[in-house]
Amino acid sequence: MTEPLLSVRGLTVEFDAPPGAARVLTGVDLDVAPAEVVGLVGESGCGKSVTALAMLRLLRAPGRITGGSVRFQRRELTTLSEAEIRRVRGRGIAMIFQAPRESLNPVLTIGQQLALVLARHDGLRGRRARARAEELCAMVELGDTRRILGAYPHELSGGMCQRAMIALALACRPALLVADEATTALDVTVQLQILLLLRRLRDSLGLAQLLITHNLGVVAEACQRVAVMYAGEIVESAPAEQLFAAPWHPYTRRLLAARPRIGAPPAGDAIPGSVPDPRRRPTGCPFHPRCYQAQPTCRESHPASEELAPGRHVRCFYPEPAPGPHR
Amino acid sequence: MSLLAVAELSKEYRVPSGAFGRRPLAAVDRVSLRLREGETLGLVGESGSGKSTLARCILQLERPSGGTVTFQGRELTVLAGGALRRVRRLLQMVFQDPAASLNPRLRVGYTVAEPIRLHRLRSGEAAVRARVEELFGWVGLGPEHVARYPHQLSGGQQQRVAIARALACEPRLLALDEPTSALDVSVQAALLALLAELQSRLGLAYLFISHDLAVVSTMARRVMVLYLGQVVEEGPTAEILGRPRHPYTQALLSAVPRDVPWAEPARLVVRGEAASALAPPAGCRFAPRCPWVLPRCQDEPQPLQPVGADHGAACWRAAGGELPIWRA
Amino acid sequence: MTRKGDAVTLTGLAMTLGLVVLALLAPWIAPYDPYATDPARALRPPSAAHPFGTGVFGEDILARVIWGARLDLLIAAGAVGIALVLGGALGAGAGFLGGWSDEGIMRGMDVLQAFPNFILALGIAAALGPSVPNLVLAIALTNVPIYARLMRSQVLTQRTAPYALAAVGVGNPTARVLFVHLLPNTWSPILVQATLQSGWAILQAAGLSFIGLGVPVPTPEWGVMIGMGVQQVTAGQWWIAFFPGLAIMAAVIGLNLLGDGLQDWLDPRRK
Repeated sequence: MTEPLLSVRGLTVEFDAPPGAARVLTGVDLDVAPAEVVGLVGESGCGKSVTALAMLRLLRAPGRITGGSVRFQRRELTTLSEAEIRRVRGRGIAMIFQAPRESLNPVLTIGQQLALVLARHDGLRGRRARARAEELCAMVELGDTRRILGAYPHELSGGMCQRAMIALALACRPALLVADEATTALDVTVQLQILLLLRRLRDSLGLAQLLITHNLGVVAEACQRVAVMYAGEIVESAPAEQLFAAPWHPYTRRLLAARPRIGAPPAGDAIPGSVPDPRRRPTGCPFHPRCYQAQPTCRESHPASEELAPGRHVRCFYPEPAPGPHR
Repeated sequence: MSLLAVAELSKEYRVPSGAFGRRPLAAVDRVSLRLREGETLGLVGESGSGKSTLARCILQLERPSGGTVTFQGRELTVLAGGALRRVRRLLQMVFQDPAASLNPRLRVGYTVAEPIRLHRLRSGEAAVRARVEELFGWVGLGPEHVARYPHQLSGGQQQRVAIARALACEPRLLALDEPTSALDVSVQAALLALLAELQSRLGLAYLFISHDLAVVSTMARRVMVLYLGQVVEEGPTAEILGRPRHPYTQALLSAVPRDVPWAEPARLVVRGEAASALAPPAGCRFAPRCPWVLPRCQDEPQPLQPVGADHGAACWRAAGGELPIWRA
Repeated sequence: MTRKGDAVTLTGLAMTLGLVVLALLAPWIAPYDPYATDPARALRPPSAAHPFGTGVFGEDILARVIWGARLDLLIAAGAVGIALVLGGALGAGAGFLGGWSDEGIMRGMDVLQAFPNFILALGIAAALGPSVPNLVLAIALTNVPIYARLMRSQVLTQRTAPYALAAVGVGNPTARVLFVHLLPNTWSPILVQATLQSGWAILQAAGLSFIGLGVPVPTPEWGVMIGMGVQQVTAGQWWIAFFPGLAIMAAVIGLNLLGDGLQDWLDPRRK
């Protein structure tokens, strides 16, 4: 494998929640290679957004990084100065969010917002800035460039706002795009358009992407590799094709089985119980209270993440390297 | 006889436009549907399709601007006051956002007991309390949850309370408005299974509303697809999913993410996004995005036409049998 | 809410409660009769016998400040109470009924708000004559639109919330929807506003009394006292106006700090 663009090792984040501290991320390992699209998937509260925020040092108090490293383009991000990390955000790693319209400045046109970014990062002004802005709009397939550049966010649809956000993100030529639930608020027909756009950007620009989502279908559709999170840990990571064909971790298996499938009755008993409170994490494997195959070992000790096959990491004492029951 | 018959139901809002003017917004446009006892009708549509407004108009939580709603042979649109309340007990609704659908200042046991007391479905406090616990049991909650406040429950538990409240009315029909879309996958699966079980136990009719075709397909034998307030296709679920005839249904089905990573996009990708219901296209409302649009689609809306056994689509090309049948 | 926020709110609560206790116990803790005059002790600076000094007629300022708390808090509570009930009812009616009732009520509120608050109170007080009940009424009327607007917006947002629709759906009669479901979910911002507004009501009462349109001289009321002491300030006898001024400041700050923190305390999720 080529040297990763982004390499997260043992990232641990705690939130001060008096009287103690709640551990919301435990030893997260994550790699993104150049021009690779990686999916980070999990249910609400599993820590997937916190991972992205911690990587970019955007965590707010009471949350803080208490361990691990984040290397990006051979630089350690956790120890960079505030000024240096600001340069990495945008130029190195750009981020887009779930609510595109709210992420844009409501009182500036799309063109003005692009102009600000281009002036600041590339020193582009006037006609050259205009040309670059039009180029970016074309890149994200925004259609009628002149109209879009003169439009305010409220005049554009949700999908167009998300395209404009992507154009803004691309303005600084980042090497990695982090998309946090970027298609969740969109209609499925529009979601498909955005996913296809992201795929084309990877092909044409070699843009690496980390797609954070709760939607397994989006991951399957768009990602080459997948990391599944549960209770602040990556429980399984694998090439997407292999993960969907044969999930090895019990959580992944049940998560896949729980999805509604066209024409099948609902799988009601997929995962009993609910996600643990980070202040009262179960002992041993955090999934054991909900696991259908938990053994005494699972309650007593914490499984390490092991590479059971090339590129396939599983954090489980009893992984099932067999085809899944689903489908 | 149908339990529920909706004919030509329309809902028009008057929204402010410009400094002083108001113009009409047709949120629901001449929708007709029928539902028998114990049956489920799936209503599929994206944002702005009018599916929630339609449900609220059927329950008279909003008054329709036109059309009729007949439930057990009685016309609901002309009822008001106590007469409406007595009939509406039989039609209940479950909302999308479980936290917002429960009064934050009331214990959930009180919320579930309220309809029992209002309609005097049990007499005596002990009987009411026993009934509440029974309902909690039906939806998979324990007696220990009765005294909780909504914020002390998880999203899935809150939605179970909302279902228990609806069942407390002893309804014949439940309108389920995106009941699982705010929940995680595992919670969603359990809730859908619960709804299926309740239906077979109580013989309830469901009006199941969702933007997610896969979810609808697990619950409903019949599906109706809405686009900008109008029905574009309706028929048996298997037909709609297997041989969708309206280009919008095809696009919707095509857009559902699949498990084959980096699959070649043998996809029907439609342009742009739904037009504003404020200025709907004159002809077919899907025409501006349709890959197979004809000149006549721009100015002549096509009514729902039979395109197969018990299967209708509102499309000139589909009616003429000249549309490629897209397969999932 | 943070602990710092809690501390600020508690400070406000302590200040407010302190004044309330002072007001309740005035007959027992005031060192002198607030009306007692004694030309022999006129205009004495603060001393052990008279910690806040004495006024032009030899009246004890401390005693008058303590008795003033009683009157000023009563005026504020009365004015805000009347405004809240009247404004709340009008606003709830406007929001819940909509249509022409809404238009009528809210245009009425516009008329009331078209006058600067103090000028309106001044006009009402001047028309009715200076007395405590008239002062309360004048301040109450100027505050009615604040509660009417707040209540209307609360009812408008709450009535379309899913829980309210559900309450209608399960068969609650209209009045029950309003009183059992909507109103309990509207009162917390209104109570916050009332707390904040109480401070302003004290300021308004004192202001009207200061210019002679509120409580008549020589009633122990903070505004009256400042009015009586203000000429003396240039002569160096600062304490006559200073201590009632300090009391007003303490009341306004205390009620504001309390009001700011109240929102979080009233959130049902904190239970």
